[in-house]
Amino acid sequence: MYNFFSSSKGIVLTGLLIGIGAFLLQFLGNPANMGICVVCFTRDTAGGIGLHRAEIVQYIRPEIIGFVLGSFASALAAKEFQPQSGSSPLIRFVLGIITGTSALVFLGCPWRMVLRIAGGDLNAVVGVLGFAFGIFIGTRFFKHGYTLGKSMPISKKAGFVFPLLMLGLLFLLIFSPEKEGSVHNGLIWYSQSGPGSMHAPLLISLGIAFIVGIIAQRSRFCTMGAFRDIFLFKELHLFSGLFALFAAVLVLNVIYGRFNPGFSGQPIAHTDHVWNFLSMLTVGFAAALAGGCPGRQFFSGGEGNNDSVIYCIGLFVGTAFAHNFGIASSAQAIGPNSAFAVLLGLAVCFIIAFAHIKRK
Amino acid sequence: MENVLDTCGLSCPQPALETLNFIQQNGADEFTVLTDSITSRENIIRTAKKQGYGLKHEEKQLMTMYLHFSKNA
Repeated sequence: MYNFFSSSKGIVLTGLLIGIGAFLLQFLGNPANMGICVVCFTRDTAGGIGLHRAEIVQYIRPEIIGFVLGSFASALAAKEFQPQSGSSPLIRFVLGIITGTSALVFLGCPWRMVLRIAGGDLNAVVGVLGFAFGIFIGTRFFKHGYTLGKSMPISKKAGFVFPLLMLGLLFLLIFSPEKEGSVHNGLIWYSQSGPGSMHAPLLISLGIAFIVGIIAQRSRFCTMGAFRDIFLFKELHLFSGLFALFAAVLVLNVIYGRFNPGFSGQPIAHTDHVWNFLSMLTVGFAAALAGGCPGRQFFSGGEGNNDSVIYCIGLFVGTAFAHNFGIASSAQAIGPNSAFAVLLGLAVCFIIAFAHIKRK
Repeated sequence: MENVLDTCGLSCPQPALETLNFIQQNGADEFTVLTDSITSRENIIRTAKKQGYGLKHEEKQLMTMYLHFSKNA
């Protein structure tokens, strides 16, 4: 079957549509430069079900649910739903934890990093340099035979579990609504202030994310792959999609007066260049070793890849750790344990990488 | 079978990387790559194309896709 979205025009259209979707979500209530942030939204969702108690970042984000359900529906419709697992799941879990903790030192996943630059946040330029460098390190290991091993086909039913878990979250969100003025409705948590309290209407968030899930599944959009394929294959295909996303948001921000270039005073961002660089370097390295950025892992999970699901569960745990253990940064500064967590994550990535070089 | 590369079970970017290595070491006019990943399928096709190989035809048996490449196809 011809797949338009995987063509060179298709991937650019994907980037443009995701960019427009992200801008719309910002416009309709999501936090600034955070129309879509896969890690932040995973963190908010973890908070929504009480895995951490940081009161300003608790909300079951419909975007996360929509990504998985959109990708799942798309994969089913295209007969591309192929559940598989068994490629070092626990290592992927650890890589998910490392990604979740490190990304919250930077304050954003690779998607938000691009949205931040498109909003004029120059701290994210430092982040993107780190991210690209981390991926570059990862590609050196791939060149030397790094592999987490082969996965095996598993039953179709096993592939349904992740979408069902997401439906469970949606069920909670719909049938256990916010209690006005209270962070806890007796079952789940809803931020009353801070980023977690800022969100677009539920159905709009869910709808946009569902569409993003579909086109990301069709196009195989991946922010880590965008850089990795340049380093490994001199291939600009995925990068052109990422650049289109950036361009779309940049243009919309300029038109609507939301482009404010500079380092200081940027929304939900700090100016610690060293840790912006190193945290995203660790995110890039971990994502490269895991074979996809956080967004891609959710889409791939929707397609039935249970190894990706394990990475996503690692993300939930990692983002909860980030707030439980003083790792996440605030807009003022990095957290008391940010530096330690990033360096530990980086060291673990090197250990994983060296330990999985398979000589032929 | 000669000129067959089995990348089933491997995740990105390894199937494409192995295809690249295979082409560079093998240099055959025709070869076949096996994959069970739809994402890898497209990466393999793009990689082969860059090296001057086109997808001649493909078939699917259960979950495995057989991608047959040929020079200047």
